[in-house]
Amino acid sequence: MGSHQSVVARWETGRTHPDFDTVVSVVRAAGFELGISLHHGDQHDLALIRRELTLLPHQRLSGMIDAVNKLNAMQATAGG
Amino acid sequence: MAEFDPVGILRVLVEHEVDLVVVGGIAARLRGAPLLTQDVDITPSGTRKNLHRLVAALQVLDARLRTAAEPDGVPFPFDPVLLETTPMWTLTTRLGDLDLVMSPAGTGGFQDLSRDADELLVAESPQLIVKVASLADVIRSKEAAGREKDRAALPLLRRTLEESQG
Repeated sequence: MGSHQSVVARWETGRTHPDFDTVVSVVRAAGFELGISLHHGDQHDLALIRRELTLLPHQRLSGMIDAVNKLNAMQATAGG
Repeated sequence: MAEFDPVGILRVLVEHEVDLVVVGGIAARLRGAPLLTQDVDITPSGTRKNLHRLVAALQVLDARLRTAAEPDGVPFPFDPVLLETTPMWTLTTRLGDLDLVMSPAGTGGFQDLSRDADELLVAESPQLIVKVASLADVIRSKEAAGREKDRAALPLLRRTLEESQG
């Protein structure tokens, strides 16, 4: 493949990222072929993210705690 | 089951002056990712003095070892020397689950994460401020960990990072 070990180490730690052609080469060197398909973006997630980003950090956490504890209470009720 | 109270867990740690960075799902949520998590992940500073403070906080939290077979936890004699020996401790406390991630995958641990971490207000009354890992570092760690649940969260985290950068 021709990539130096130090370069690979940087990919592994996330400090740098290989370009697309290199990814294809790495995958092929490992005996695989890279398959790619297109999907419609999840607009629901995007709406949730944008709503969340309008909040302050403590409001985000507070919303999550409420949701988790409500879910747990529902599961406890369902479980008898 | 006791209500999950991550703010309560963090408050005890801060009251004991534990030097830490919040990582994992709670860090991601504080940074704006709309995901749910049922545990607090922290990376403590590994100095002996800090680990002594951490052990004191764990005692106040009634921390126990959490395993798949014993989700309610088993009693365990935590001490600073022991904490240093294992990269990750999965615990349960009277306020919910707490994971001590001594060196998250793909990172250099506390010092590395502290570089891009910010002090964030995580509760208003009374005020509670903790050091929280950057979303880029949370993503980096989940990419390196490569567990199925981490991989599943990555698209949402990356999208959040893109949106937060405008």
